Amino acid sequence: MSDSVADQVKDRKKWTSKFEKWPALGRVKVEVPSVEVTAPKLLLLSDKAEADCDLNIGTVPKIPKKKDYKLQDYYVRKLLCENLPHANFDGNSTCPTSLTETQKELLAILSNYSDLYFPEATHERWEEIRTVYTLHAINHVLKTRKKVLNHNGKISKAKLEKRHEDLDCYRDQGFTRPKVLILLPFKHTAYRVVETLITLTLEGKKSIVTNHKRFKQDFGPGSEDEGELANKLNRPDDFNEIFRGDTKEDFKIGVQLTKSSVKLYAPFTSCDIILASPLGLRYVIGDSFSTTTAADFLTSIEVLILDQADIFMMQNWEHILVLMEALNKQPRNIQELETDLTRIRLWSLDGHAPLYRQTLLFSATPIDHNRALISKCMNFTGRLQVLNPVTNGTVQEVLVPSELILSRLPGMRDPDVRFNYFIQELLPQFRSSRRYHTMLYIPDYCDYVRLVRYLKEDGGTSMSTINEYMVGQNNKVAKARSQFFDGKRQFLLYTERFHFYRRYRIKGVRHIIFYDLPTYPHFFPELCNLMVEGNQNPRKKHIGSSTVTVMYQRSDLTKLIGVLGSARAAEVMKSSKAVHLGIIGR
Amino acid sequence: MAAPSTNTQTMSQEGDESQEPQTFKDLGIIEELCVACEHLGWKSPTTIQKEAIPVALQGRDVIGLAETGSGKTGAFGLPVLQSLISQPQRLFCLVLTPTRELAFQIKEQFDALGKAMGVTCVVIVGGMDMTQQALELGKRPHIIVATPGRLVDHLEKTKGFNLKALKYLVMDEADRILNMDFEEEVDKIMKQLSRERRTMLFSATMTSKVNKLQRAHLKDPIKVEVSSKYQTVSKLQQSMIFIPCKHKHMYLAYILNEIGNQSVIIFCATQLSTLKTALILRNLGFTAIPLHGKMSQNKRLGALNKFKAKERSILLATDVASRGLDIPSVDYVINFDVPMHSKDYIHRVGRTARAGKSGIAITFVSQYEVEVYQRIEKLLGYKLDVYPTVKEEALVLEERIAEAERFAKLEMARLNEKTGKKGKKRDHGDDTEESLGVRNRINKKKKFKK
Repeated sequence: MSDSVADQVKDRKKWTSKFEKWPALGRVKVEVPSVEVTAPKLLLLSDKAEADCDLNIGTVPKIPKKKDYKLQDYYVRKLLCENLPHANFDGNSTCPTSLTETQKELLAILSNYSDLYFPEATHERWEEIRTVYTLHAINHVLKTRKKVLNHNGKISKAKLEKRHEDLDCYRDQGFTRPKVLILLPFKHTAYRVVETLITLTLEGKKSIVTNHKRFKQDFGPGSEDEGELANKLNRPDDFNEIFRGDTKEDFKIGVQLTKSSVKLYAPFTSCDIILASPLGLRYVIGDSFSTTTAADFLTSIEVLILDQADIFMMQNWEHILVLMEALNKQPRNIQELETDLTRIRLWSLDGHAPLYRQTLLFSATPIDHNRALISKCMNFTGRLQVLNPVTNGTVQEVLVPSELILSRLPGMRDPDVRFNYFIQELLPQFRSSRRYHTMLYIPDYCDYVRLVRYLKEDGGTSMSTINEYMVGQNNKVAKARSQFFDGKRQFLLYTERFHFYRRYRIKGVRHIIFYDLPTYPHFFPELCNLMVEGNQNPRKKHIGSSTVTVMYQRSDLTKLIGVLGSARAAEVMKSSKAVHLGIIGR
Repeated sequence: MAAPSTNTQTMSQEGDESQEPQTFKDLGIIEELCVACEHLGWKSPTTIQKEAIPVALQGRDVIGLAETGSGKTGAFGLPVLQSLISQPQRLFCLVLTPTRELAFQIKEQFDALGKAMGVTCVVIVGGMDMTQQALELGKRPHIIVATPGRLVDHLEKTKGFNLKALKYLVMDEADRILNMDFEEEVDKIMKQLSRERRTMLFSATMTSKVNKLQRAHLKDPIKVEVSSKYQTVSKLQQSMIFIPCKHKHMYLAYILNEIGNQSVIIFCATQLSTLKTALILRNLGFTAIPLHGKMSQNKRLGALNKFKAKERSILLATDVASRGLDIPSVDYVINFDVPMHSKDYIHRVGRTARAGKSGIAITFVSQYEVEVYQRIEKLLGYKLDVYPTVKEEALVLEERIAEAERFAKLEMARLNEKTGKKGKKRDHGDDTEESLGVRNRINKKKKFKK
């Protein structure tokens, strides 16, 4: 890729977008850079390698055909085609490929090397999606590896025959060997990816998996203790899926693929695929990645996969941002690398590696941060975003009849406005009407700290608090819950992360204030349904109906759509009234 | 740049029977390169080019001896490029130079000549980032311009970089490269090169060591000499003044006053005296800029560029700047100290009167330097005129000089203290007036001007 083309790809204004309708995925936004490749002026000494003609800039993947679907059309290697039925979850024998329609369409996009934003990867579809991206990752590694080995052979042959070879046609590598980086939230997700990977590569063969036993001990499900099992009994399905098996958040593992073996725990300098949690990788590259050479193994990542990216939001999004900064940089110390300089691709040397990276992001729900991350990636092949409208918001699932008050606050992403509104409007109102049993749901921990400090200094408000740092301190939480249940405290300040990690059913809630809309739309009905009569304190008489108050700003459109549905959310946003009232849960 | 020479010096020794070639085309240079030469403003070849290019084009090894400013870079650049075009290959030519500044200058010329043809050229010198250089080497450029030390570094440490296929080796200022200082590095490089290469050596002065190299590596070389051994350009007016050592600064200030706002290079023997003289001149209100080996590479380049762009008219330098540097219009060269090696004198005064322009060189000789000076006169074969000065007018300055010297001494002491205690701190101390080194001061002043 020449510099002029690279500049054009980087120029956001040169990108065009359109919407397409895919049978299984639905509404897809296709964005591609439109680059004018001027016919290269052939200089006397320029090489073929520098020409731009063989680049497929802005190629849009085609919707797979219904009939005559062949995996070979997507350059999937024969071995993988054969093993796929074993790895895929429904080994449907009638269909020779045993791929679902969604999988077919995803594979079409993946094998085209386009970026993908897929915000509908809920826990029911994890399996489906995991198989496809693992297949793609292995396929990519095997393809590129084969080329390298091929060239190695040719070069050594030329050396034996003492022929002088033109070295420029053997540029086939990045600075370092790792090509695929898969970011995952928990050890158990990594475990499942690796198991799929082993099945795909080694099924039916005498499998040689180095360090497999160690891996099983380290990442495997182990035996769950009973207390935990009991804990999970009354939890929603998605919670049970997320916290199944080993839920440690700090891990990293390198996987090296060769023709007939899989080596786990390969060192990062000589592995092909890195599976890691954002935290685990952050430990390696350090706080200030600019001063260490430790991040050099991230220079040549060609496929980046973020699976279950919604959970990264619950863990720590900052790690992801730091990692993205460290990806595809030029190496700090080239002398320490093991790669032969004459084999490094010209575009790596020129620093165009970010433009050649495919980024795939799967998330259970649309999240602005995730989408922003994908929009920053500048893959020259283009990017696809699945953006289906939400027909019925999760508000329909609310069962408890209550008043809904939606108040739109001015400003965008402005915590001060929220804070002032709450202090000046809502708090006096709730105090004066002596509305007890009020849960204040706060997604952001900073907001939580600010409110707690204010309310403590202000005095006059009785409150109990539950935040994410109390996850290990069951007695504290129990105390807070019981005080709230008995009505000794007027307010319960409750953070989103705590809810995500524990999903307690808080009892005795009569009123809910959403300080900000929840990240997961399904939290909304879940919390509202806490107000059912069976959860209430029988000794406390309650007069009047329950209320749900929601504070939101224009910047919360994505979350609002999830709760209300696209049509209603748009209506509410457009309306000139700042406050909307309604009855939910008839 | 080696512009058309006016051919004031003696023409080639072996009187050509055939007609003198008048254009590059007559020398056998291909059309594309002739066009490039025209763009550079080279209308007709200089003497050394006329002599060396046809020989080099025949594929012979060449030893070129020509005085400074006579277009040596073109003399090896054109044949190398022409041969590259006829058989394109990456890592085709290596140019070794003794100083970093010279390396950049040669790269500029290669770029000017070859950019339109897609020739890639990189500079590999010390003081710059190794990784960045390795990346550039990874792209396998056609031409490498390097100083020996850093090149050896890369040969040893950068994986996949070797010079086995190299076709041309050029040494600019060959006598200096073949000096003891670079012996080890040059031997290491030589070991890497294939026997089937062309070699060209160019310099203004040659030592006996060249003969050694000739025996070792050159194949049947042709020696091209365009002037007798140690000659200076005839448009150069050389003169000297004989003064007591303690009056040197006074006379310097007096002469600088006399000549007004012309560009001057002042050569001092040591880094310390460069600095001290720069401080004194600054205290007297001259805008002087120092250049010596202790400065970082970027600062050295910066200083040189400022002088080239005529933002500063006075450059104070050690012998770092004495060879090969091509600054188009230097009007005066002042030898503040008599050079210890007589050959250095030739190189120093070669900075002025380049490319057919006239120039003046003044050498300060004190009572302690008479002997060294006499050796130079012996080498030149004639005596230098005395530069006319009026003693009374110079002595008027005595008091002011003494004052400036006192300030300079104080400043030097402070500077020493700073560097001694805090090491690199000086580079960051832009906000405190006292801690500024000379260089920073000058930079600051420039900012104010703008």
